[in-house]
Amino acid sequence: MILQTIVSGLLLGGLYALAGLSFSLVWGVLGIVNMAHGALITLAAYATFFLATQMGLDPFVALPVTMAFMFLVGYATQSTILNRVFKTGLTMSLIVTFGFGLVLTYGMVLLFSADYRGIVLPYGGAALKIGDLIFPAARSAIFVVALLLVGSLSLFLSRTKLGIAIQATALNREAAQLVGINTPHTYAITYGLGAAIAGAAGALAATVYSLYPFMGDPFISRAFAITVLGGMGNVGGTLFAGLLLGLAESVGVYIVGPGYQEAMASGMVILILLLRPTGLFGRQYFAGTKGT
Amino acid sequence: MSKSKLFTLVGLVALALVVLAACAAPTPAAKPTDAPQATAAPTQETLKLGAAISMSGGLVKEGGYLKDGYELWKDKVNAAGGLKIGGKSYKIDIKYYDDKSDAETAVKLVDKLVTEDGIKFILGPMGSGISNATSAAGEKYKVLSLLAMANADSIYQRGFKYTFGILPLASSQARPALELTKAKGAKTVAIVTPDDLWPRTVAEGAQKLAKEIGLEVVYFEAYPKGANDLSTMINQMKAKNPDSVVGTGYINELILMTRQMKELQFNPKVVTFSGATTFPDYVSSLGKDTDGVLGLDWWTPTIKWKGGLFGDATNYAKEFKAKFNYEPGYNMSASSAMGEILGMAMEKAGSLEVEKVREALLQIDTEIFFGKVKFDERGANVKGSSAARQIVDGKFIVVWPQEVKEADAIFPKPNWGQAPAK
Repeated sequence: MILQTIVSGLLLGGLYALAGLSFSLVWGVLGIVNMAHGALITLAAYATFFLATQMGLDPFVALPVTMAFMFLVGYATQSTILNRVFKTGLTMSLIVTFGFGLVLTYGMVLLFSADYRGIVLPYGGAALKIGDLIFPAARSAIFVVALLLVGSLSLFLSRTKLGIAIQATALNREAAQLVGINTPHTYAITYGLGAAIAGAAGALAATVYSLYPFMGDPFISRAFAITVLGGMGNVGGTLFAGLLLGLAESVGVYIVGPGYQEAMASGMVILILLLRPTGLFGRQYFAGTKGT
Repeated sequence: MSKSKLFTLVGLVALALVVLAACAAPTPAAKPTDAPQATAAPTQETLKLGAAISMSGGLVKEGGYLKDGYELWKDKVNAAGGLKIGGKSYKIDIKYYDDKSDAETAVKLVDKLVTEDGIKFILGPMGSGISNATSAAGEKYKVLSLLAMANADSIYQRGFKYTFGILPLASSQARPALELTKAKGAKTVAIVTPDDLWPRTVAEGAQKLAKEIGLEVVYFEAYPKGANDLSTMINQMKAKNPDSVVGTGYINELILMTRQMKELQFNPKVVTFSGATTFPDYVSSLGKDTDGVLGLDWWTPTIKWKGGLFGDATNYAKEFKAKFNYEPGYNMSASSAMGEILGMAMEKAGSLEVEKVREALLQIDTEIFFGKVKFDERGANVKGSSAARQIVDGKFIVVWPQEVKEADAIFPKPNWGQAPAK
């Protein structure tokens, strides 16, 4: 039973890691605490839903389409709105992304109504069984896809020119401009990438959760916790923190009871801030960009 | 202020007064359907009832349902010649005020109904919250509060003498599902609820009822409202291997439980979700995965309760739809039923004195289209029961209480996503 709890927690943690990664990247590189994070997740979930129900696309097959769409949404948002304000400081970007999130969310309420919807997967009840342990098919697929995406992002940031440009911009905006990096473009790419990853999380979440315009909200507090734990912009740290949070929620609930589930994320943040204010991996701001 | 402005203001005030007077004047004559009958029967008198209900604010929709329910009852009685009380015949007239969905306003309006309009029978407002306040005002004036839409247990635990409620208590909602479980020979039950007032009341009621009925409660848990993962709780439940699971709560939690119970291949013999047949999104978003699940409803047009003014539930629904052009739910039927029971008590008492009508209400033990009615000393309808409906191919079939079922329940429930065996 405890083993099953650990499995459930890890599978959940994969999704958390992905949702946290987008938030962490945007915060780490752009210095934006992205309050529109939940709304982006929801938007992608709806995109997946309509691709699945109107065009009959399996959510996992539709994933690249959804991510490309979300990238465009993110790129456009950064280049038209956020590039104008985010350099003025954290407060302004908080307010603007919060407002942007509200507009998105209530736009979805208008367009899609507040009804609950769901994607019924033909293999929804299927599972891999090892002994008594159950690995539900959809959740296992989510876990694998999430790990692949986290890995690809890590490679992208360290091995490609654009990825290195993003890291350079994160380290020092002016120096990056001096060596010829088009920073507004880099910012837009970064936010677009963040939106695409949030979109992947939303698309995957749509296969196991029900859809409604506020479905992304619970992810914000968790993304926050994961970013604090894993270090801003630190891909490996984020993955670890996501899995840890998933485990903490399931094993914690197993030990102290379901009533405390929502307290796990905040409890972890408080503990980390008390014991290791620099995050789990002990590096300061822009961690993960050094030495690559 | 300049002179011309002053004149304009005086002119406007005068105009407003004229308009008000014009609006006020035709009100008594505005009931052309009542008027000719009233002159035809000289002994005809008018019985005035009062209701402060939500005609604006957050509960405007539900307030409208309530009013339609009262109106249908009123018109039905009046069309049949009115209530026969002590040798006289009374037409019913209901005075409505708008409580703006606000308890404080509702209390002031009850004051007004009693002290200015001289009304002694107050038909209840929407919801337990407002009813809780207005019934306290009614108790103070010793007038009867007849609550159609208030079933929080706490309302009936204050030792009030003049409060009656038609809707069965919230804590009794799971009874039909538990009785069905017992009748099918199952022995153990797990009960889970979001930690929120209403679902928790239902769940704790279910826990108590299960013990009375003779089922063993092997798991009881309250999880946070709005939780987005219940896998650990479901694993814990699964380890206890209960025959039956009762889940209360809101649509989001019920959908999540369904999905995760399926993922974790937890297939109890009976699964009851209190809102499964109430929230249309449940079936529309989950499709086949809902097959065999039981939902709980206070009333439904297909239930076979019968007797009284409207004949039976089906006929009530027909008459309601003919008048208002939409399908009635439990909100409307409960308000019509509360009116019907009040009328019944008045005729039985042969008097319009509050004390005598109260005595008659306490004597009532009957069945009408809404279900059984018998009030205990607290004014709660203790013989009332909700209905358990089973989802079969997306349709809702009444399977309990035994005497009003449409079909026998499918037992054991098929595994998640599988069609019920025929």
